[in-house]
Amino acid sequence: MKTAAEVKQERKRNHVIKAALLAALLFAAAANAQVFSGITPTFIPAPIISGAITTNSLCAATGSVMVANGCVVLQSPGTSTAQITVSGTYTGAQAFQCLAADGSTWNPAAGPVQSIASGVTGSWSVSYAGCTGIRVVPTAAMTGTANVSIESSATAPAPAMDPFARPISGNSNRATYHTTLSITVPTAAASLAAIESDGTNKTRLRYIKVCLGTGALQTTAGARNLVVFRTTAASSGGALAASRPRRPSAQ
Amino acid sequence: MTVANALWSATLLLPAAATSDGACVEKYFDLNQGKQPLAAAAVANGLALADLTGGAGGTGAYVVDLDWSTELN
Repeated sequence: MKTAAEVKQERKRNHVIKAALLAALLFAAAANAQVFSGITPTFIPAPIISGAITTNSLCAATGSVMVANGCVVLQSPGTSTAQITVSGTYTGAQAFQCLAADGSTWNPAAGPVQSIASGVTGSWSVSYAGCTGIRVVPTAAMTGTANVSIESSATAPAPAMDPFARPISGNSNRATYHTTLSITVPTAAASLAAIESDGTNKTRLRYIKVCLGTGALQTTAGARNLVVFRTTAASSGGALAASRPRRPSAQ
Repeated sequence: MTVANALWSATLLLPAAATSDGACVEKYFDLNQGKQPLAAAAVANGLALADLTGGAGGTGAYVVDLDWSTELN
């Protein structure tokens, strides 16, 4: 049984708690009002198109038309590269092609990837230079379905970044590692860097950033083509990425 | 040019000026959607980054930052 003094003290404590909660709510509302009272940011989505490819020979060698189940075509001006993603289960090689200025002639894309073998899935950046369109088209008889999307990229230059800034880690609960390497471009065909799986664990790449080194010799505008690929032999050349556990605070 | 077992590619655009600052390409691969480049466990298997030496300029050192995770096969 509580005494009158105890009841009074409890009521007083409840009032203090309610006042604190009310103040917190008012503060949060004011903060939000400040955030949203400014200019509303505008997001312009990059042009993207997707479709399924199931059959060869539906798309003509000339023309610029996207044909259902035959080829996926993106026509978008003002882009420097197009990101092509292929998923699904299928057989039959696929070609990445560039639509010439005449609007009807398809040539092999400038690369760095011009085609993929039967059943291959993944995502590739293809040069849009000199193209009025990009398409994915089968070059052999097909089975199954290749789900294809093509997304254009902006021509804006890459923003300045600190090459040594640590990336923000994701929400993976797996053991995560990182490394930073300074690598001289190999003169022969070789890797820049490699991560080798051990005998029992598979390796999953989660983040990559490649920057021209501050001491690199840059004399003319250009582009370097980068490809992540799955190795089937011991790495040759370049640097072997030695794993270092990420800092717990960055997980 | 075709690279066997290619999983992802990008183009590092280089400015015309002599400065090398700010020329970067960066990619966060989607988490928990099975889209990250993956290499199975085995001796002499892994993931590699290749420079196909396409384009011009950019002679010298590159800084490569990598994040990866491991999991049982």
